[in-house]
Parts: sequence; structure tokens; C-alpha cells
Amino acid sequence: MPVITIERKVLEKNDVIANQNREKFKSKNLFVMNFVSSPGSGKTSLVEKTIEFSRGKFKIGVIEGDVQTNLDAERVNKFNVPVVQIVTNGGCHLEANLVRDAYKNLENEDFDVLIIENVGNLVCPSSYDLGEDIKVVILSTTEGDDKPLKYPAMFRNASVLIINKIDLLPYLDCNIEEMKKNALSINQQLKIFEVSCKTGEGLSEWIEWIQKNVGKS
Amino acid sequence: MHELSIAQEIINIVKTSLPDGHQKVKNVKIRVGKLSGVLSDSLKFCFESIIYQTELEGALLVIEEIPVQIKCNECNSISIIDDPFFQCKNCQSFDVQLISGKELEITEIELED
Repeated sequence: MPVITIERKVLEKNDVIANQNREKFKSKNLFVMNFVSSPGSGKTSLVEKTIEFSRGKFKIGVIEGDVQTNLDAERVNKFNVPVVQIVTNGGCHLEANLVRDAYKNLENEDFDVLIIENVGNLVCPSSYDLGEDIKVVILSTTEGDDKPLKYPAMFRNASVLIINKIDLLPYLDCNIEEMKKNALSINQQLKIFEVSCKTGEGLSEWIEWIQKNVGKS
Repeated sequence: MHELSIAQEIINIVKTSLPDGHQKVKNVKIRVGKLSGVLSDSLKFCFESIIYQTELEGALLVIEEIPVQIKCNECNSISIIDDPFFQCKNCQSFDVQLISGKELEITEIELED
């Protein structure tokens, strides 16, 4: 039987563009974060609070990804930062070419940190490199402490875990120590921040950590 | 959900790898890591749906599932893990590196004789 040996990565097209994005971001000295989480964990709130708390320290540009609507870009736009919305029309994740095209609208803007807010989904976005420096996974206390064990690929691929909505802990059965233990059992290197985008608790530490990475890419 | 776009990528790669005047494609062999985020049964279903009534109809997607393998940075042991705990089975350390499990690769196309 004739056999053609190919040995090619299925997502090589995406990976090639992701690496081009990475080179481009590097040439602009940008620190690029890909925010991933399930829907409703507070990704957009974290984008808003990160902008608010970083005033006077570093400048932020944002690419918003959603299945439908410009609502998130409209929220971010109120903070007077460069923002562009990607609507995937049903697509469950962002791909490198979408980020490349969206970034063209931001290229002439002046900022130090690019936040890419992915589509709310803890599965598919883990397979697609966008050219970011790091993935930041956001997990809220309302989602339960066993979530990392259910979506190991995402937690393994992330560098930072933001535990959001810690102001709700008194009302929930979520055991935050168990949540951290579960996340670290998948990825011992995870840098963890406990925050509340509602009260602002923990956000200063997060901003300080980003600041350390600005200009280093 | 993204298995459909992955199946389409596989088909694109197969089509561009076939020589002119090739025989009918019998099998497409791929390697799928258990940590790749791809569900094998769903991928097979999407592959079959896309090739229906095309020149590739009848081709089988043959999937080799690759286990999640880790190497311990402390004792150098290699373990295969089935549960999501990235922990060395020899010394129980969590300081481990992933050596396989994220694969998503096409390896071979088999044609009919």
C-alpha cells in the first residue's frame, strides 16, 4: 500500500501566524497577555480594573473577543484606551490570524501592554497560540474549587491564575485553599493572585506584577 | 466545537500533500495527545461529515492517542498520568515537565493499491 509520510502539525498554519504576531509584538516592546476563562468569571471586569489601577504606571491596549456583540469593546472604550472588537460569529476561540488582523487597527497607538480577551471557554482557546507572552486564566469563586481538575490543559498552559470574586467567599462553599491546591497540582509554576474586581482587593499586587514584566518582552 | 475546524485543517493538509494522479485515500493517520483539547470521536465524526460526497469520501481517520507523559525534575523518573494531577509517580513531586500529550499531528496518508 503506497504511504505518504508527512509529519505535520495540524495547527501549523495558526502557529506560523502566531509566531509572526510574537515577532511583531516583540519589535514593539509589548507585553502581551491572553485572558482565558469560562463565561462570566470576570474577564472584562479584570480588563477594566487593570486599566483603572495601571493609570500613571503603564499604558494598555485591548483586543476583545466575543461570539457576538460589541458590548465588551464599548465597556472598555469608556476608559479611553485603544480597543478593537473581534466578533467570531459562533467561533468558540480566537485564532492567530484574527489577532493579527485586529492588531492592525492598534498598530499606530501608543501602549505597553496588550490584553487579548479570548472567548469565554475553558477548552478550545488552550489549543490556539495567538502570539502572546503568557496566558492568564481567570477563575471565580462561584465556579467551584474543583474547576482546575476538570480543565487541566488550560491550567497547565497558563502562567498566571487570577482567582476573582473573593469578596463572595463568605457566601459560598468554595474552599479557596483547595482551589489553589488543585491548580498547583496541575501546574506548580502558576503565579496566583486572589482578587475582587468588585472591591479592588488584591489588584495592586497584580498591577505590580505586570509592571515588572513591562518592557521585558 | 473546534473539532470541525481541526478536521478541516487536516483535510486541507491532506489535499495539499497528495501527488498528482494519486490513488484513492484509504487512511489518514494522526496523533492526538490526551491534553490537546481534542475529542477523538468528535474529530472522526467531523472528518467524515466534511469528506461526504467529495473525492476523499471513504477515507478513514486513524487516531493514535498519545498519553500524558511527565518527567520528574527531581528524580528524573518518567510517569504516564491518567488523572489531572501532574505529580511524579515515583517521588510524588509536582516539579515535573510535560514530555508528551499535547500532540496534534498528521503522520501518514495511506493510499489504495
